[in-house]
Amino acid sequence: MRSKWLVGVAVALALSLMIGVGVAPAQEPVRVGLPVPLTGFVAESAREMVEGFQLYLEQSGQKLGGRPVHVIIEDTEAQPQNALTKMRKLVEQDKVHLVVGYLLAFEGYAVRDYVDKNRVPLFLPIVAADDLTQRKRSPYIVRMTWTSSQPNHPLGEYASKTLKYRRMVTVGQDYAFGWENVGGFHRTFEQAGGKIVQKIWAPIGTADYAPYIAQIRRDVDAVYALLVGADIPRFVKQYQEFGLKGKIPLIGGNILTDEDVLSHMGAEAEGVITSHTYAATLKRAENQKFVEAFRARFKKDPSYYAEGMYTAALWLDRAIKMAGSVEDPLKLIGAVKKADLRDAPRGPLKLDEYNNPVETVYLRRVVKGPRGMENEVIGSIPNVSQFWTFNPAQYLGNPPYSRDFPPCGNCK
Amino acid sequence: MSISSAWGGRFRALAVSPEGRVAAAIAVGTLGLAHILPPYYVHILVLAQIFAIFSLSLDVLMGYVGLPSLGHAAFFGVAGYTVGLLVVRYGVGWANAALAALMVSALVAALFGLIAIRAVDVFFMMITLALCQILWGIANRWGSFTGGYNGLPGIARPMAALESTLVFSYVATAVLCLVAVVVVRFVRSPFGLTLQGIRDRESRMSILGYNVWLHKYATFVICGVLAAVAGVLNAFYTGFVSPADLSIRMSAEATLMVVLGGTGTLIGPIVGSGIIVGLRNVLSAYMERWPLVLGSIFMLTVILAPNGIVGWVRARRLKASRAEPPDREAWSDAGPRAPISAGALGSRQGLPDRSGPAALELRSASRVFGGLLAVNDVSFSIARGERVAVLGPNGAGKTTLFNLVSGTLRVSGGAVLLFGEDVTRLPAYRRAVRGLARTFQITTLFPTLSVIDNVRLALLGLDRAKFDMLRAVNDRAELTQRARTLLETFDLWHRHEVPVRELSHGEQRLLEVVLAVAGRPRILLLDEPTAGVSAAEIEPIIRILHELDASMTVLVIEHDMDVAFRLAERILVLHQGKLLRAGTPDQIKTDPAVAEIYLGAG
Amino acid sequence: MLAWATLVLNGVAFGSVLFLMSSGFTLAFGVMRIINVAHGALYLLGAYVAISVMHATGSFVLAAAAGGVSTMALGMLIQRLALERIYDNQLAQVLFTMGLAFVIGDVTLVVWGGHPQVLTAPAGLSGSVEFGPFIYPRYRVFVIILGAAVAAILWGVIAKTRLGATVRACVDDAEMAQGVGVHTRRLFTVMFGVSAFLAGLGGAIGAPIIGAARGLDFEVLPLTLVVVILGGLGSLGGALVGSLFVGIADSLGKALFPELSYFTLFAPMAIVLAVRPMGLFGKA
Repeated sequence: MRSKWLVGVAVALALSLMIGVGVAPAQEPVRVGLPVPLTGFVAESAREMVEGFQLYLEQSGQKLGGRPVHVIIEDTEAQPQNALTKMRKLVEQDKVHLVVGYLLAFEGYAVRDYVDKNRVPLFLPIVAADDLTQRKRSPYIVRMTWTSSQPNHPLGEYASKTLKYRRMVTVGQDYAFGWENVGGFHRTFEQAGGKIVQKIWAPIGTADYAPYIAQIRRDVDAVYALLVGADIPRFVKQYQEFGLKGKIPLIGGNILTDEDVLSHMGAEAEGVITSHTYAATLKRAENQKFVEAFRARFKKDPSYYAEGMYTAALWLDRAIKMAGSVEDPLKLIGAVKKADLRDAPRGPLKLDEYNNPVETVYLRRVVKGPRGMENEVIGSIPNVSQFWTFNPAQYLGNPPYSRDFPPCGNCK
Repeated sequence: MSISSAWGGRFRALAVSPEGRVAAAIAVGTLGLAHILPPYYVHILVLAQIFAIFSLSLDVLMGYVGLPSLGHAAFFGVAGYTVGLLVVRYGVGWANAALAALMVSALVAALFGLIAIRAVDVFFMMITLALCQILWGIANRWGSFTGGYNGLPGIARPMAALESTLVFSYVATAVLCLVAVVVVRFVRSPFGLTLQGIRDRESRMSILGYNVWLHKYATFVICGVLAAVAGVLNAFYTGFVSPADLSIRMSAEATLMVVLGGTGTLIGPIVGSGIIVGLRNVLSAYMERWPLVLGSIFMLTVILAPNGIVGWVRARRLKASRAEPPDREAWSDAGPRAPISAGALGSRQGLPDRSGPAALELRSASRVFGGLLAVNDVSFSIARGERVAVLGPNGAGKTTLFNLVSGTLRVSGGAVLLFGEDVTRLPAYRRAVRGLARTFQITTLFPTLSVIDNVRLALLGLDRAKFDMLRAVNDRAELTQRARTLLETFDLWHRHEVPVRELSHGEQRLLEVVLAVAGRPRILLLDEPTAGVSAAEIEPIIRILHELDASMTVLVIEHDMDVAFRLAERILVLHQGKLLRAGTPDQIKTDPAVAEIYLGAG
Repeated sequence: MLAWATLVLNGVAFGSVLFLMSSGFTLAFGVMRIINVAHGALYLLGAYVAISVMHATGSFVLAAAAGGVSTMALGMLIQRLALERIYDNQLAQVLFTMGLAFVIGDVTLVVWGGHPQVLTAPAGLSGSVEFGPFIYPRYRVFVIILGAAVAAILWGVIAKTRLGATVRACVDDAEMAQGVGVHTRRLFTVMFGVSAFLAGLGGAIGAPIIGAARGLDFEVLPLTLVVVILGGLGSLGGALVGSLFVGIADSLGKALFPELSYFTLFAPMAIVLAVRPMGLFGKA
């Protein structure tokens, strides 16, 4: 008896799996694919991405451009192969109209060719890999965040002209994201008259930073650092423990002092200056409204993962309304280009002709606030393009930023 | 006309062969699925096929040689990276890149094999895990070359037609079929049989003349290349390679696919990859706890289904068939026995030529075990064709002496000479090649193999055919005939398909002798051939020993003095590791010192 | 000169954390012939538990103890419920602990979230010691002393007590030890517990330096493997020498050949494997 019942349930389950659960509602909804690495080492940030998107949809009554939305969330497991598999699932099985998501650079690269060939509109609110809107751009890929080097160009100039640093050391994570961040900083810092005298590269997942910190030259004005994930708190803490904090100022690339990392750091992070396109403390009415709503809904502070997805939803909402349909990818992307996004939480946004936002970069300093460490905005540079002040054609003629580019003429 | 019919015949032969059936089943199954399934599931199917190839290669290593590698992803990943680097960085064509990938993987496997093969069990697992981790480190950290953490995207598929997932699934099916055919042929070949022998009883294999290391090593490299086939396919299919291809998790999942499906079953890993790849992609639509599920599958499999799904099904089937009354004739009930034909045991008849160097000579041979002298300065010489018995109470060092002669153990001091040649430093298998064979006091057969396969292994030991990896061992009519003749001679033919572990003790002792004489040795060491055998079963064994070719030198350890006196023309008596006496049976019978130790002991 | 002294000292401190981890691994191997793939996961679990207890109580001693004791309890439970049933199948044990590692990893994500966390050392141990221009974190000095103390205690227990004698017998010959009537069931449970305790304690002690983060479990595992393969599986002395060697090689390697830092870790292991497969102090 019991086994028959079990078999029945199993068959029903199998059938529903094959057919695909869910019945189509009366009005054809916008089917949105949302692939993010929900498991794996960046799971927490991926969760926040989903929450940011969710928050916007809750505010808009589960609609984008006036049409109901069916969001299909998929886990990429932070593995490139699964990033591609999930893209195919969303496109071939779920027949989504658009895909918005992904977090890691390799996820973006893994799906790039597929998206380009199959004409899938892909919106990247977090993936920062430079070349996805530069040397390997596709008309079907739109970035809604920044390129890795984008916020670093203004920071290099700022370090030289405003902070008056002359000689600096860089500490970078040894992979493309690190190279692009450090490269962007290096280029504009030296262009503005500074000198990078030592470049240190640490592999991702370095357990102990002491060996690198011991190598840092002490005859410099400041240290620039760009690390990711668990390497950030390790480095910043050990920088203090080895007595460098207070002697040699520490500045860094965007995510060095992200809100989600800061929430687990203490005094060791105080005073670190970074540049980014967002800060949770940003005193814009739109941002304050967003932060309050996010806090009320999820009982925590948002960082740019949430803001990026929230803004992506806002952006798509307006574009779908303008385009009137989601079935034609290029028409939708054309509308995204035209959409007015002056009131996004992080500041005004518009796309350049390479499908990358031109936006405001904020200079931020870590201070002790009422809720722990936070980023205080100490300056802003509006309308920063991914090419900074360089000519795009010339810029793209250079090799991509790497360990060896820009070459370190002053290192020895 | 005749050509086409010849081809037709060949095709028919292939179609009915086991590997033909396997390939047909895979082809029909997967091609059928590919046409029924919606496009996305075809993609999943291709991934499952790629993993099926990968885990199949691991199954051969785990199930047939007993080498459970935890770093098998090394070859999958190296192949992928070779393709990626050549195609993306150097613009090499796909065919050359694929070929290079297989060669590079073979080289890496050859290198890793040198390090890992001599380790056993748990050490082997750990070393393979660590070696693969080195490659992961290179892929992950040498960013400027390998693309590092982000991997290497942009590997174009070989032909425009292959852009279609469906078309690619045909290719994947073809490759999977090919690999399955190769693997089935491989495990059914003489070489495959030697691997099962190694898995069952490594020590016996070296005594039979096999260089066990070489067989393991060759298989390790071959399985590495097969894994590389999956790696190449994967690189072209997904269009990129990444450090995940070399990760611990990749190796572990392949191991899980093998164990979940059933180790050593060949079908098992294919089933296992289907389940894991399918589950992962279906479940992820409903939950985000895949690591939890995957981990639980690992734990439940080893606790609840250690033999895997296919193993479980087979065990149930076997149980069902066992319910029928067994077709078993007791050995003692066997009818009148034909006389042993001369051909079975060697053609040299008549009186042996006892001139020339001694068959066996020991010069001051000693062996120390942690300060204890098990064999102490023993010297003797045995002429060709001589029949000698070694006597001595328990712990006299008899078996250790045999181990020194056969090469199972090395002497701590002194020398061993076979037919005038110093073999002191030669391993067991090289002494076997020189005509030495032995039996063991504790039965040392291949328990899971059939009786005839046991004999085949014994016959192949000194035959170059043991390296044949392509022709099925069953198809070697001459080998089968030789095995049959031997088994008929020893009255075991009616049992030839039975797994050895199901034989009676007496039958096993007899087979022990069969294996030793199969290779027509020039010198035979028999370690208590009648140990533990009932009185009824002793006579046939003794009779057979009497009927051995007269030119064969025989050295026998016997506990039973009467048996020893009947068999031998000369007796050596060992006591506390030393050679106490040597003489004719009559001399020994009346020797007071011998009488004293035997009476004293017993 | 100062930089070199700092580098070597760092290597010793890192080696101390490695020793806590690898001594547990090697003990479990020596007695039970088990490769505990979940050892890294236990390390991570210990780190998370310690961070939580530190937040709740503010006591570092309690935090470190909780890190070790919690993993010890889990280890003993696992041994009794599962590993015991498959004690004669090493591959099954490896696969089981592999699965356990995935499960622990995912559970820590649910409980502690995914953001990297670093334990803040207690006031008495934070800050730096300074001798003129030489600045060194106080906590690392503590780690070195603690590592030495644990090594001394383990050595004392192994060399002087009855439990230690049993352990030594098992390491030399597990089958023989069983033959002469060692009460293996209890011994195995205790030893696996001690092994897990050392992993958890390692996580807690390492937390102010390495922290706790996603993926750390499978980052520390290879380091443990290198240490025990170098030193010789089952040898406590080997684990000590291996830890110091790996710690110092890692530290100097990152300074001398930064691009090859991963090789300076693994190259010695490969050489040892090729020349002396049983490790420096292992028994064949």
